[in-house]
Amino acid sequence: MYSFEYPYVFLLLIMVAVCILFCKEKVRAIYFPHTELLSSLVRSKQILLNLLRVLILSLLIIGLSSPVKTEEIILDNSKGHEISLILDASGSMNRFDKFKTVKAIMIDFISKRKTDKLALSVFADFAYTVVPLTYDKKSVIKMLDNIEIGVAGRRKTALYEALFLSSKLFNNSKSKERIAILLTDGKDNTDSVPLDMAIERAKDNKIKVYTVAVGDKKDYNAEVLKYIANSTGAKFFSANSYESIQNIYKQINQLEKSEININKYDKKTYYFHYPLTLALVLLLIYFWRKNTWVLNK
Amino acid sequence: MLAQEILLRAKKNVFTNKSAGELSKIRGDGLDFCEIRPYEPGDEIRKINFTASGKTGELQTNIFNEDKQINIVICIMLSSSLHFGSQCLKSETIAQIIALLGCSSIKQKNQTQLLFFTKDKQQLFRINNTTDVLHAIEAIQTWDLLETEPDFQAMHDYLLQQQKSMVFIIGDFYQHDDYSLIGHKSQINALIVRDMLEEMPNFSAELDLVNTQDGSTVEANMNKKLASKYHAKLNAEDDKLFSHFVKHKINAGKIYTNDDAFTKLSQILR
Repeated sequence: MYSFEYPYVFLLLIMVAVCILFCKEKVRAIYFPHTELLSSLVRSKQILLNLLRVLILSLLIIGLSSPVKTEEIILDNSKGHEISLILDASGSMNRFDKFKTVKAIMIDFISKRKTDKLALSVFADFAYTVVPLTYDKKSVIKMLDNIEIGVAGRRKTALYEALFLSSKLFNNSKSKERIAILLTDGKDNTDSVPLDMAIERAKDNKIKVYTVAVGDKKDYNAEVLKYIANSTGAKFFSANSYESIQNIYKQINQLEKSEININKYDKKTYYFHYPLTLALVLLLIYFWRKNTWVLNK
Repeated sequence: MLAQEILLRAKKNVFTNKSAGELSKIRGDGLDFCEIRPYEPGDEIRKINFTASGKTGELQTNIFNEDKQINIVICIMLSSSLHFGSQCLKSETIAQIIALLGCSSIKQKNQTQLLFFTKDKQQLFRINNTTDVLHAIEAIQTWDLLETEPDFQAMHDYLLQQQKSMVFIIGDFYQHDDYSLIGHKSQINALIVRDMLEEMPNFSAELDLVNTQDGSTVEANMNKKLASKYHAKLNAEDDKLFSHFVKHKINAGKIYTNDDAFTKLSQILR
């Protein structure tokens, strides 16, 4: 991000404007007849010199305000969380615009997890990984935004398979904080992976699985979701409105706060030398145009 | 230079110099016979020389010089730009010219009037003796020239009312005017008083040049290059002025502040 380290230095521009108007350079003055003819000869040169003066002073002030580009650099990534987002994309999520609402809330959640690694998986008839664990949040947001109902089928809900698959993402993980957030509005109705095996895999990989149920209570199996959450040391949430879903993600965000990363720092690239160099070049042009060289006398 | 000193120098130059002679170059109604030439339509019948006509077989006319005692009008176009000079002020050079012309006309017993034309006031001096010349010199020396503007219209009006005269218009001629009407009526001599430094202002320094008229300032680095450009532009303007003078048979010449006014004046009026 580009910014100025000392933006208040720009107040000097007011001083420059005042000086140009009132602080005239003191030079010897003589009476001279027929200055009308002379002024027509020096007018364009005078305009150029004034313009150069303003430009030089402005560039010096820009240089003084220290234009800088700040980039966040993280040296030790193990301090952050690794979060796998598991999203139900079955046909039932289409009802009451649940899918769109959930996507918007998840995008907001992702953007708040600045120092964490994120993964995205979706499930319906089958489960698949959309984005493996990555720091590239822009890609995760972009992929999430592009996911539509039906990308993994419409009729079934491969919930346990999704949990199992998502757990596999943490196989090579070095992070101490591993989290999965599983969001669904239905019950598992495929027999591809048994529940215990999925939970076992999650526990093996030390993953806390937060389960979030949305929609009508009759549609999802709260007991199973609670069981998954409790078995992995996490919590179960249920919601049936936009605000309540948003609150759940806020709670998770609060519960799983990344500790301040001591190895995170701002890399600053200074650009003050560019306006200063330009000011120097313009200063040389100014002297040249002013003909103050001894040889021109 | 003091007014007295200027007058003394002029007296010395004028009254000890015999080379100029006293004959008027203007042909007219005087008694001083000049030549006989063939009659031309418009010549007065009473001036026909019948003896010469009889001898030659065609009409001949006697031509006379204008009376030696002629009317001289010296018009000083005072302007703020005269408040400049490197050797001496341009106004001082004009004072020297006034002294020379005044003494010269006293010597030749001409009827001389000297007028200062400015927008604010006009002043008339009748030059009958050297004291009048001295007063005129003192007047120009004490005149507050800054913010003074010449009044060309008043000069034209005055000269058009006067009888045929020999007119000297003295100034620096930065303001261009039309002299065709007065040039047709009288014999005009335009004396352009300038300073070398104002025509080639190579000061080699950065200066604020203050306009003598309105006090406005031009900031300029007066080096050789700019001075040459200014000189070229001023020359172009002067060329137009001299073309106008030539077109209307006006005798004109430049006198610089570092010139010897008497010598230069003699050259111009020869």
